Amino acid sequence: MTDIIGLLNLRDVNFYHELNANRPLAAVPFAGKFRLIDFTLSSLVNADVGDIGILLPISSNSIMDHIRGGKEWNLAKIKDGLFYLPPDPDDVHIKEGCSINSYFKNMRFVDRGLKKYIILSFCDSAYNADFNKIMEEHESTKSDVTMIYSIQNRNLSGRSRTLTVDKDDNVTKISPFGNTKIGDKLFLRCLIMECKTFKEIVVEAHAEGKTSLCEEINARLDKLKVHGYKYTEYVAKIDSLADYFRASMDLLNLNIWKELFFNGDRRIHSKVKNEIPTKYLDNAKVQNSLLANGAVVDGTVENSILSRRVTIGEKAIVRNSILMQYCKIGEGAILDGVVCDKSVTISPGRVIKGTPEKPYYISKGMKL
Amino acid sequence: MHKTECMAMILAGGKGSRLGALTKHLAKPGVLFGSKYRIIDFPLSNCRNSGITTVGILTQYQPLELNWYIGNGNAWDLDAVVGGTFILPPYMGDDDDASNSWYQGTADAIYQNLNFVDLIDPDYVLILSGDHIYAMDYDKMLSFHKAHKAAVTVSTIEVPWEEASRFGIMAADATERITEFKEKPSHPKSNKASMGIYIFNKDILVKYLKNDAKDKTSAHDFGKNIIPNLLANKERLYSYTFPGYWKDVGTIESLWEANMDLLEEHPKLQLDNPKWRIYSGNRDYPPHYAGPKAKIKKSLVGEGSQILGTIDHSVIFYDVIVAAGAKVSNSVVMPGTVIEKGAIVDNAIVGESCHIYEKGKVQGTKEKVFLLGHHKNVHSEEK
Repeated sequence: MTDIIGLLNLRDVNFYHELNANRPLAAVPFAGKFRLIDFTLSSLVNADVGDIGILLPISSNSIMDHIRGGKEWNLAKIKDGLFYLPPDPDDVHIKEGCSINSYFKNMRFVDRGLKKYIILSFCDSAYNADFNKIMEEHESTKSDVTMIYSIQNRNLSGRSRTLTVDKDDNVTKISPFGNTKIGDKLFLRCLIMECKTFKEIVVEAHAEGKTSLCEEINARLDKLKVHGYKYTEYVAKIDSLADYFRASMDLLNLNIWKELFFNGDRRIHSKVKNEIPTKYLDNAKVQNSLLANGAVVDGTVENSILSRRVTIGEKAIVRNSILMQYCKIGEGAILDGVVCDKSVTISPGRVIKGTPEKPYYISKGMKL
Repeated sequence: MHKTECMAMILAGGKGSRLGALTKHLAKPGVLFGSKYRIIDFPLSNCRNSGITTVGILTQYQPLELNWYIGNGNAWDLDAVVGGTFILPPYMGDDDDASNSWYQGTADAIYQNLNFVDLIDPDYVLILSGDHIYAMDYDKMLSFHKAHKAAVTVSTIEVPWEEASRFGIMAADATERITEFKEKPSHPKSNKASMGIYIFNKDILVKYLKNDAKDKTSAHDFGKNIIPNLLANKERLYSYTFPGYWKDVGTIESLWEANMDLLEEHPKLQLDNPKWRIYSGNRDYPPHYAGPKAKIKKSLVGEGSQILGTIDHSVIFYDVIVAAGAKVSNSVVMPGTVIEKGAIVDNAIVGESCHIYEKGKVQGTKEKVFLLGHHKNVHSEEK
């Protein structure tokens, strides 16, 4: 499927919490090794989409440092490949769901590709999409737009759009952002349409001073055939710290771990770090956890996720916690229900406790 | 475009026949090591970290998997606009060309590729073996070579006396100039062994290889012929002592030992030195999973693995499944292998994609490590 461009909108995020206070949501480290953007980016390249633009938000250092030229995703190419679309001052404070202006200003990226379709995604969820299959369904149903949704199966704290879908899988309503409940058809903020349709809608909306693409599609449901694609595999939505914690704990379920990372030949690609394999020392007691290469463990670890270059000191105990890169847990320290951002140092003997509903968050670089 | 000062030529054509099943379809430099690496990662990473960006890799024996693994060198940051990695297999040339046969010896292999050396036209040529495990800054060796105005510098390492007769042994004077060289001496006078790593001034290399090619009685080997010839002609031959960890894993035992060496709390071979990263071919696996009843100690575990059983003092590669109730100790388990409940693996090297069924046993001893080759199945009551 190479007649497609991908457009990743990292600007339009409708919530801020501890994890994305100082970084784009798409850059949030997840699963001990990846960043949220890896999932969407990998899904696109796994379907041979080789022409991908990224609408960068402000403070995009972590994104650009992580993706760089796109080599690991096969996007460092002479023709097509990866395109960074930096923001200008107007793009800094985008209200939720209001990206028409961004699309209008970057229509050159859509035009240059000379491709038929565009897949637009916001990279706020982790799931392993088979875009080949989704495109097939889009084409076989002769739809103008496909919107990907999943059935909500747990309580979520964020604000999302939901879809109303009829028995022929046509979308009959796109609701505004709001609280959602179990059983709702949660829009995964991923759409497919022809580039010319996208351009028509955006140009018209922009001329009329309208701001939201989804609302424009909603207003045109009588003219456009909008297909609801039901994604049935695992999706991690990261709308809050509590959601992040729960989604991370989901990864300790081997079936979910496989659904995300061993799904046919659709691998999730990430920046190469060349870390040494995980090292277990004499006092290691690790159970029900995920451990990244580069981690060194000499203590107890249960129900937790350890990222690269995390060191667990002798007899330290880490339970129900998520430790991002470079965290150092001192000897005898005890952590339970904690989310440590990068490079946190916990002194020997410190005890820190949180709960799954309210995990104790320690920000980047803190020394406790 | 700037001139290449020093290029590397990696001899990666050897079979490593004492590695049995591990090298039946794969040249020795391609053999898996240390939970995620292949042996050739070490000379390639050393080249990259030493600033050597033009690397010829001379393959011959079973080169397919190795060539595929190396690709264009990008996993080691060696894919360059100028320079890069070049696979150099034996080739047919014109009747009076250097080529026209399989490589007859280490010196012959380089001799047949002097056209490549000419193309790059470096000042120095670094000759390396593709099957050594070590972390070394070749730039330091080059500085030593230049400081001593050497024609050839040989990297040497002190080996245990009882092993000295296995190596090419050097004697050097106080200025490190080599005064004597004996290949595999029965009564070694020194324990300074040649590592088979040489830096040649390009013109010297060309001269001696061309002369050696004319000698029909020669074995066309650096250690047996070229070095002694240099010495006999009183060329400025110097010994550069390498103080670090270095292993030529020629046997199952030494491969197993080198793996086990990594399990010490502070291994002599430092794989996680941020100033000297060891690069390896990339795989897209997630962090590995340790199960609710897992017991893992004193081990290395690779990505994408599912460890639900007991692992003690072992090197587990990526994409390995160890079921609850299985026990692995003092062993190396290569990727793709599945070890089921009740199975026991001890003092063994288990090859790729093996399946050890319930209650199957793969049992070696410390003196004789058991090698289970690739794609093997082991059922219970069998060894």
